[in-house]
Amino acid sequence: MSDVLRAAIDNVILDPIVMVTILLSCVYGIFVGAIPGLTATMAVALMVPLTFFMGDVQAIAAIVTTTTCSIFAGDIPATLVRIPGTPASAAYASDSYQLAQNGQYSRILSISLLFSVIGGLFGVGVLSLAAPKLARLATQFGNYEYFWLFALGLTCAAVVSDGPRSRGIVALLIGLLLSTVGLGQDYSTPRLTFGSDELITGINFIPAMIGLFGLSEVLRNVSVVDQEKSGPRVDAKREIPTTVIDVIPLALKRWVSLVRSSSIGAVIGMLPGAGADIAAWIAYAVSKRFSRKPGLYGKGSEEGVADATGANNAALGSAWIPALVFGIPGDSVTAIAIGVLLMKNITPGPQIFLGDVSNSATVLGYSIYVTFVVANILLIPIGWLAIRLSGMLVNVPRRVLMPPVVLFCILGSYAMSASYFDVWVMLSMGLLGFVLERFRIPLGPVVLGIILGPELEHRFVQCISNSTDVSLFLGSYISKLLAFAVVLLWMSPLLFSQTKRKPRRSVPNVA
Amino acid sequence: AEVSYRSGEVRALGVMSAQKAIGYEEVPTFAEQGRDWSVGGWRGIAVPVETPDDISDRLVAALKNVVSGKTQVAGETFPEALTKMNFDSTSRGPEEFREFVVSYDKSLGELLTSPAMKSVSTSKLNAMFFPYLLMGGLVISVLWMRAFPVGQAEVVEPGEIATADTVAPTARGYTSMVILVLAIVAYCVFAEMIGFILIAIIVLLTLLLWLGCSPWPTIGGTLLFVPIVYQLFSHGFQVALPRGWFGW
Repeated sequence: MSDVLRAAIDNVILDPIVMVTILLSCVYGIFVGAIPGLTATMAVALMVPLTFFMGDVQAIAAIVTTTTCSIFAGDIPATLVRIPGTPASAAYASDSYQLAQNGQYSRILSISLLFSVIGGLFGVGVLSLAAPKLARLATQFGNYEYFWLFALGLTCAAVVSDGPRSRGIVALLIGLLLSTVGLGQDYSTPRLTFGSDELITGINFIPAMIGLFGLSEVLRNVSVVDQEKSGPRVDAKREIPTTVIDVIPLALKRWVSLVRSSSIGAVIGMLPGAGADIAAWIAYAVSKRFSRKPGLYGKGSEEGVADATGANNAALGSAWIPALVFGIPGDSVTAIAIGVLLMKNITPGPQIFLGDVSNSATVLGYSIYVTFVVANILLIPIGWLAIRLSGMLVNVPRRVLMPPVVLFCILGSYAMSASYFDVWVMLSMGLLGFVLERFRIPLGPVVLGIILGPELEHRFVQCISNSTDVSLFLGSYISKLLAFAVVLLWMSPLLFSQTKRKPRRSVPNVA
Repeated sequence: AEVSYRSGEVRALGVMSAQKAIGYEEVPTFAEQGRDWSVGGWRGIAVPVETPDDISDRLVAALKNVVSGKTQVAGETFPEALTKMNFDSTSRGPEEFREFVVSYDKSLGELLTSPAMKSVSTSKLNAMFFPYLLMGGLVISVLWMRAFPVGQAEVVEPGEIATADTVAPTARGYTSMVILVLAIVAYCVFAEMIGFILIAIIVLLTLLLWLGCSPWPTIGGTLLFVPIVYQLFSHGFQVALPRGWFGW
């Protein structure tokens, strides 16, 4: 086995062309991830024509590196202007934004960087060590199990949000209702389109997310910016930039939660159709549940950001498990990657794991692991550079920053399908978000409702169409486990209020 | 899916094309099994109706070259690449494509309205079941929410800073918001007409100057910033930004 590993290392690390490709893909990935509206999927799709001219290892290395770096880079605009660069960053966008407003921009992004890298390495560890066995687990997931998984994701989003439970539920229901617009997978007539052709495909979640998180915040800023004195923001504390090195002690202190959240990410990522965004939400919810300071979540919790960002990077690595073992993509990027593999005449299957040095497929499989490791490590210096460069924007006065942000909101919404309708969606959702924030209704569950609503409904309809026997919903042990988790989270207000009280010390009873 | 098939975990029931699939000759076609039905995946290229003839003719000629194998990418022609990926292929020119689409549409229409389809499409759930359920739930939860209002005196955890939440907008603030919304509307309405460069400059200048930035740096910065953004998105990321009057 180590022969194969050595061959893989030769292919990746000792090949200057591949290393240069990785470097360029890293920069490219960070760039794309940092611009809201440009997704990692789009970035990889743009690279595919180039892969015709690349060698096998080089092509896959480019794809792997781009996704790894763009998932981290999605945190940058989330922290700077509260617009998640990728949906996976939406879970903790409010937290990192608040922390940046409090003058901790580079600290929170350094935390995000370090935990992303560690989570990513954990994910590739899981991938390389346990892929075939885990793939078996993935095959156990049928419609009922997926239903409960998506219900769990939505529950996490609704339950962790600030404030009374009712607000989270309202947000979730709004998101789910918006997701029913259009021609659903299981129905032959479009719903709630009011005759509009554009709405037949539904409300696209990327413009919705940009509008809900980004434009609403821009509107809020613009509404009060006239009351600011002109010049650099007086309230913005000058921050001594921190680096990844400075936050290593935090990682050591929180290693338990790091392992926990990375595991969550790895498990969820390996299920086809469930990716980094759900992983981030569930890890965030679990993190809040086990935290000593749950009140900070939503207002600036470092722990929440750290755990969730580790989870979404871990999910990337394990998304390759079903892709490599069965040829079934774990997410949209791996779908493209499988296509590239096929073009290079490499078919996914057991030979990727079980062959020896003479089998080029096995060497390619190991090269993927090595690339993941290299990409994550390379992310540290390049990510640091990105943090420093973007940090210069933190102290830009809001009146100067907001108009370009508006332009990027427009561009980001338009870019996906070259559609002005999406810009209208962004605008409407921005106004909706503004109104929601007035009523202190959280935004995260709305976005997740839009993303997961169709899937949840689709699975439910498939379950019901299969048989009206309701007991099947708790058929397998996986279903029971997930359903139990869902119920537990909904019941948890009782548990949450306990953790808010001071821990009782065992003081002898003094009358 | 090939992996699952080869390892025996799934069975292939049939192939929906007229001929057998390359590499899977042991799988019978549906026609052979007595059901004369074939459908396959296809890709086509279309251009807007207003496209001038000379442009569409050039496109058709180029595509014909690609499809018949006259061009190569990285040493491979298009037919070779398809065969390598186990796709068989036929290609159709403009007229044939149009006929194909018309007949395909017709046959699918017959299928979807046939008695056989109708007999299995009784869905157990009405399509509007979920939307109505959600709307009902929304009404209930909004009422619940109003019953337990969150006062302004919430616990402020240490480290939290006051933001736009705590300062009430002035009339000028509200006007700024309206102008912002109008700017976005203006973009949607005028971008195709006058192009990205011009509308972006107008939008940026309007917002920046309204919000009180000093004029000359603003104008200079905007004139520099917009073309760079245009180049990046339009040519770098292949986003179809309208050229309008000043684009390239």
